[in-house]
Amino acid sequence: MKTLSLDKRVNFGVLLTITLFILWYLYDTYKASANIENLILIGPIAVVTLGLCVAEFIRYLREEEAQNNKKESIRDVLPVMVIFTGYILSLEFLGFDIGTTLFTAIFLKVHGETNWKMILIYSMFFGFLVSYFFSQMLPYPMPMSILPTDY
Amino acid sequence: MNPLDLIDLGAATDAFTLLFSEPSYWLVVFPGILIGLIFGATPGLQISMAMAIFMPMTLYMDFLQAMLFLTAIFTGGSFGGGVPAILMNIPGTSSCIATAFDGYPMAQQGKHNEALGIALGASTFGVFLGYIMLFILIKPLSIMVLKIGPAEMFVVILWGITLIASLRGTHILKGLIAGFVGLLIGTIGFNELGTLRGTFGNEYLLDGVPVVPAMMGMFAASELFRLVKTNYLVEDEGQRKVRLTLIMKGFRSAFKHPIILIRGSIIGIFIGAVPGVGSSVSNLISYMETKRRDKDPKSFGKGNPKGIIASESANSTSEAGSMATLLALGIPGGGATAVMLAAFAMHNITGGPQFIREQMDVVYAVILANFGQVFLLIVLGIICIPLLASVVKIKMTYLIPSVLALATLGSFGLTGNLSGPVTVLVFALIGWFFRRYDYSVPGAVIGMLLGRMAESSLLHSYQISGGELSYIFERPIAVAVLCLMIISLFGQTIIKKLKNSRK
Repeated sequence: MKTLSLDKRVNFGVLLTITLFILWYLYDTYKASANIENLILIGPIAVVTLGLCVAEFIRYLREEEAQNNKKESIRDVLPVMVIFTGYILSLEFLGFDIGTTLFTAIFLKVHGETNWKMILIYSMFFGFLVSYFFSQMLPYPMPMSILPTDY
Repeated sequence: MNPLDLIDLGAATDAFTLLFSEPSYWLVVFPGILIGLIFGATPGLQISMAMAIFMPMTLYMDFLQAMLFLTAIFTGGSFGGGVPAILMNIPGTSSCIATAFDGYPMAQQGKHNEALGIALGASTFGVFLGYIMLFILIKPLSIMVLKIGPAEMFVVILWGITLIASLRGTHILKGLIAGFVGLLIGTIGFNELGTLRGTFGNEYLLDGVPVVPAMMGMFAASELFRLVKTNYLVEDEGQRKVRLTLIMKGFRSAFKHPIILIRGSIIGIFIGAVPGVGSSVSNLISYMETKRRDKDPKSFGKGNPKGIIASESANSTSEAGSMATLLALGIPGGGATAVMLAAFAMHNITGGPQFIREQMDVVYAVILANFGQVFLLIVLGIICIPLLASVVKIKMTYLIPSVLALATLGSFGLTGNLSGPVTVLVFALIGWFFRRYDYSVPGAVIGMLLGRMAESSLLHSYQISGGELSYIFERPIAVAVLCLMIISLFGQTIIKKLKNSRK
């Protein structure tokens, strides 16, 4: 039996996740209320999309494995995803000023910038400048560590 | 009917005199356009936000001056929003989605100067033609808007949804799946009847998924993940230059496609006048129509300048459409006109038929001033574009974290809490997987944008008709739009088949 490549397995996983999401959403909507008013758009769209997912599964099983060498691999993108996730999840504690500065500095370091002075100057300048600009422009308080805020 | 019959010539003359009686009226236009440009070009800062922030300043102005200031912000912002869509694939507002489809591929090909010039040309033409149409049609347009109900809105939205099918890309099934999943995500949260669906128990999702942060994540952040291994947005060093001659060339080339410009503007003004739908849908319909009628539809989405012209002419004309409903009926079509309505209230003025009847000179003065604003927008746009286009000279190592951080800050600005940044993150990840495995990202975004609108208008039509959806066919405007939609979808195929059968 042929083993599937990582790419094809992830592709299958994406389709499966979409199908499960639609099934769950249809069930959740039906459970919330079985009235026609509640299902007027969601019901037909979900059923049609599930049909399309089944057709895609069949196409997927029949299709020969395509070479996707030109596209970036998940291994290339994973570090950025992790750094960005860390940035978003730390905003509540670090605030936008320190959070943005750290995110920019770590990103620059991980992606090959070797000049420490440049990393420090750019990340601090950019992080504090944009945080200050938005805090002045927006009508809501923003989480900050150093810059003044009512958050 | 003679078009001159539609214009109150006496009031138009008074408006002209009024506008040039006080130089101070024009002094506010320059800063207004500049504010609009800056807010439009900064991801996450919206035109309505700029107008709300600067509205208190209008307290010290008289009504006409206040209107000129606010419409100048509106005009500047309508072009400014296209700048990040072209340079960074971030449509700062939903009215610029279609601009990114071809604008960003053009920027990647080193044609950023031309793309920005084209956007400026199409935008200024759109604003100009939109206000000419408003000048002539303000009365009939306001009567038409009163006849628009949920059935008509649903048909217009349905027209927008058909774009999902036309953006399917190379994988038809995956394209449609992405679009429909987007539609379903767009309905998450409370519906109009107070039924709660799909929130995972998360209180931030009660009002639904924040669409603009989701759009930023899907379009921009996921694209930046993809570009992590590239050195510059434009790889070829020779093509990275910012040249005023090329910007001007792009500006002029927008006018080489008058049919696309006029079609986009007509779509823009009529759909822009539909409250709540407006420019979000008009740019999509205009794009779809241009793509469908083109000899080479496959070139769209890969950097076809006609795509930018179609989108920008429609979204900038929508400004005039939404102004029509505001001035003639006192109904704001979107966020920006809602702020203007508040400015009306600050000056003890109520928009509507009485306002039009009694202060037609002021209405005409606002419209005429916008013609002047168009020329100022051209000058300011040409001055600002070289500065904005320099983004292609920045190394991706610096550009990626900076744009991701801007999108994060901007999304916080849109929601007022951390649900905005979290939405950007979640949809950036979804967007990357969609993009990587050939699910249509634009299709999913359009679905999300239209899902809630489609459900509400379908539900209202169902309730008004007492469960008889054939009610749609009893509404002349809805039937007319439906016919237009069917003609636009199948007209060319039928004509081709007829021609072939004759051969």
